[in-house]
Amino acid sequence: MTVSRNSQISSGESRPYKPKKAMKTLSFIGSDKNAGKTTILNFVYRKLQENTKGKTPICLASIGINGEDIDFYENQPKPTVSLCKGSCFITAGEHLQEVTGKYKMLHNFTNPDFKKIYVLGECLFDFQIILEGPNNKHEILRMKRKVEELLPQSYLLIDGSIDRQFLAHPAISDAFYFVVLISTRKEQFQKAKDLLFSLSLHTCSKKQNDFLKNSLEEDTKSLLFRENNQVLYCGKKIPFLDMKLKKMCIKYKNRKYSIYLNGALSKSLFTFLAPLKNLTIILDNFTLYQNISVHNNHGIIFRPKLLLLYPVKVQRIFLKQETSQYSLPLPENIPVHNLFREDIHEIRI
Amino acid sequence: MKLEFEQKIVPDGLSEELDFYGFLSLFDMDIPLLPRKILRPLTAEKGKGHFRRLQDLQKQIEQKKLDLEKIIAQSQKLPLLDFVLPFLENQSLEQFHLYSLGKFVSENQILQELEMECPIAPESSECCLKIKAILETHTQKQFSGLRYTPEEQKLREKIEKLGQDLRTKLSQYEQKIYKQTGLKMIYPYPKEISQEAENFSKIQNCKLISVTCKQDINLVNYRLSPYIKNIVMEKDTLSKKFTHLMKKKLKKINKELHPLFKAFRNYYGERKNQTFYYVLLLVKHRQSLCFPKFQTSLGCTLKNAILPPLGKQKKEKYIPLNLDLDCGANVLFGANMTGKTTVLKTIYFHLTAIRMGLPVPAEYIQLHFPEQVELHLKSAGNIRRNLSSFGEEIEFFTKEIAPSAYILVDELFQSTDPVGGTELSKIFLLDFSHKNLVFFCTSHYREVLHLQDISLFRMKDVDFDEEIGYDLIFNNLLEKIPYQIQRILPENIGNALKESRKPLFIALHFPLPESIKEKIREQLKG
Repeated sequence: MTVSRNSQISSGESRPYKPKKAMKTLSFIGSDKNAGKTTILNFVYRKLQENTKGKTPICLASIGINGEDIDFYENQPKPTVSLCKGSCFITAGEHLQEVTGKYKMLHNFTNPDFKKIYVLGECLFDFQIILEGPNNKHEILRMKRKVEELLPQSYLLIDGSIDRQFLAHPAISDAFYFVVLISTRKEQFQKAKDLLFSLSLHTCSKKQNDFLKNSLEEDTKSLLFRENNQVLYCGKKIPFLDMKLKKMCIKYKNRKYSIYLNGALSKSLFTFLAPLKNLTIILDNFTLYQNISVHNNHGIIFRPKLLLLYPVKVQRIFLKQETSQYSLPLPENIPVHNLFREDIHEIRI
Repeated sequence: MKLEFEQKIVPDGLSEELDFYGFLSLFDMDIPLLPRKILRPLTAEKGKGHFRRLQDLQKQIEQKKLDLEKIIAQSQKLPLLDFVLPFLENQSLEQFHLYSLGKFVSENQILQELEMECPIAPESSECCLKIKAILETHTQKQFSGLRYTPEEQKLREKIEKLGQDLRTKLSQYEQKIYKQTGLKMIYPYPKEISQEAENFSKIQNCKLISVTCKQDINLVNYRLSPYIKNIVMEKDTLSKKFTHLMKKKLKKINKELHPLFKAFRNYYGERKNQTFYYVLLLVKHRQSLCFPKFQTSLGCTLKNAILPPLGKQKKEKYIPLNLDLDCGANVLFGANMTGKTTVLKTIYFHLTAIRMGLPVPAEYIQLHFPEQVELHLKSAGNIRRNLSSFGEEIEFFTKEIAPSAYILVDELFQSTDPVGGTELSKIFLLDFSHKNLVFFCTSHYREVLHLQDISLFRMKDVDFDEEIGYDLIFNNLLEKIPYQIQRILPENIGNALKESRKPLFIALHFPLPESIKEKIREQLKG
């Protein structure tokens, strides 16, 4: 194994999920295109079926569309989601023409609550399908509520996307499966490395957590506050476009303060904040740390302390290694697997 | 259901001040069939018809022919079908459309039973039963799945059996690979192995699998046996055949349903309208609102009309409005801070709500239908439009005024000098006094009291001692204001004129500089 890790996996990490009373939502995100997200989704889905012996309903959904037919890089057919009889799915109505009569209807998600018509159905046959689901937080939450009502004690598997930051909100996902591509392409490799770094970020203190959870509103994008919890600025704009936020950061640069961000820590914002040594940045969740590197970013030394509001709930990391030459530092306490190299029977989910 | 007014019906600031949003939110209800409704101004004819229908339904409820609570509960079970209708019209309904359509017609049937004594759209209601019959023939389990013919069922069983065979054969195949190479594989996942692996030569020589070197990785993939390939192919062929049969079935269903489209569209529209009426009735009942009564003569009578945001703010101290407005010009005369503008806003609120077809917060309201309602409030002008406050007021009067309009103006021509303002007020009031409309304004100009053919009103006075020994604070004064309107009869005009000194008394009770107060007292004595 060419992958290095910071510490050993703790014992008991591979306990299978025990079905709980409430529905459990597991989201799948990949570090890049062709990281093998759909393959892992199919794999975890099959494993869950085995584990639950078909007694717990499993529903598969997607953020946006899952189903590019052709691999962008290699021009190869991409895997599709294969559903088994008895499983449930959510997809846009237009993807159901080829499976007419092969499913049973459970619910139609219609406008005005949903921008498109999405169908919750149960498979009467085994079939392959393109999954498509809502692309925004409110619709996902509405969808979840309905699934929970119709399929209590079920598993909802969401084929997600790293750039849909709301996916990491605790109201949406209970746990993640993170699929990482270790590529020979330098950019892809760096991206994977940075994303893995974000998984090892620590959460903020309980005091900060309590304060933030009481202060944040639905549309808060940034919150600047002092150690005594005095709010200096509350922004509703996307942080990297919020000029007032930047002005306030400069104004208080010589004092100790924290900034909560609920928007991507973009390259421009990263560069702007990099010299502020008195600053603690609290990202809403790990998905906001994107396309940047606190370690090596064209010579910029990143001085602020970086924390998370919501803990990383990555259940497992699956690697897809295009090469054995590169090694990646892996976060502690998250089990790592390579579906294609390990004994597949031994991998627990 | 979320109600909204069409844009620009009420100016933004006023909409917020009068809390139309809050009033409309009283009608919020979880009715999937009516998720959102945009209210547009009704014409007199449509408006009267609208309220007549509501009154008729009200009677049915009072006579216990309709159980409104039960009807609303059942209406909440009807799904929205707006997304289904175009597909029904184009004969392109899919299975998931049939589910919503089936749910609608079956829940609607229960609703129809609750409406037995006063059915809606009886001429087109039969189409729902026909649709239900067609859907019940071709679908099963409450329209959730397509019903299979024996041939289709047989095909389904065959496909399932092939699936089972395939699973068994693949499992055997995986075991064979393991026995020959020691490699544990699960179809369809390939395996990546290192050249240094102990069993590499065994893997390379195994005919059940293929090994390709990709970059620095050896990728092991499957070489399925012809037998397995045949099962896959056969399953695929049967599956395609099944899909073809299902599509054919769907085509047939579409063909059978299509002749019912027009009747159903009409019925569906009627059902949505009727549901809206039920909601209005329920909210009217729950919030103790009232429906207006319409008269042929022009005018408006309000009894205990409430302006909701003010009612909410003042609670038990709130004094509802009672007022009779006549055809022609009506003037509300009175001192400052007596609630004249609030009267105008209250009338505006009620007229607007009625114009949009809503019940209103009043005990009683009788009027001619408010097809046009115009309100002008004092303004500081508009720099963008290069208009002074006077310019804005003059521009207001250039609007096209339809017969029977309601025109409400705050502080008529107070926007210019008192001499010119008085003259303009007299001219406009005399002109409006002979028109078939209701013009209602507030004014301070004493000269307007002597005009012929106008109805005069005054706000009842603040009752406080003239020689009060302490400074009154603003909120105390507000509490003392009676907010009541009195009609000024010709013989009482003299008294009304005397009361024009009221602002001086009021000012005297505020903590103003003593030098000013002294001068006010002198003025009052003189």
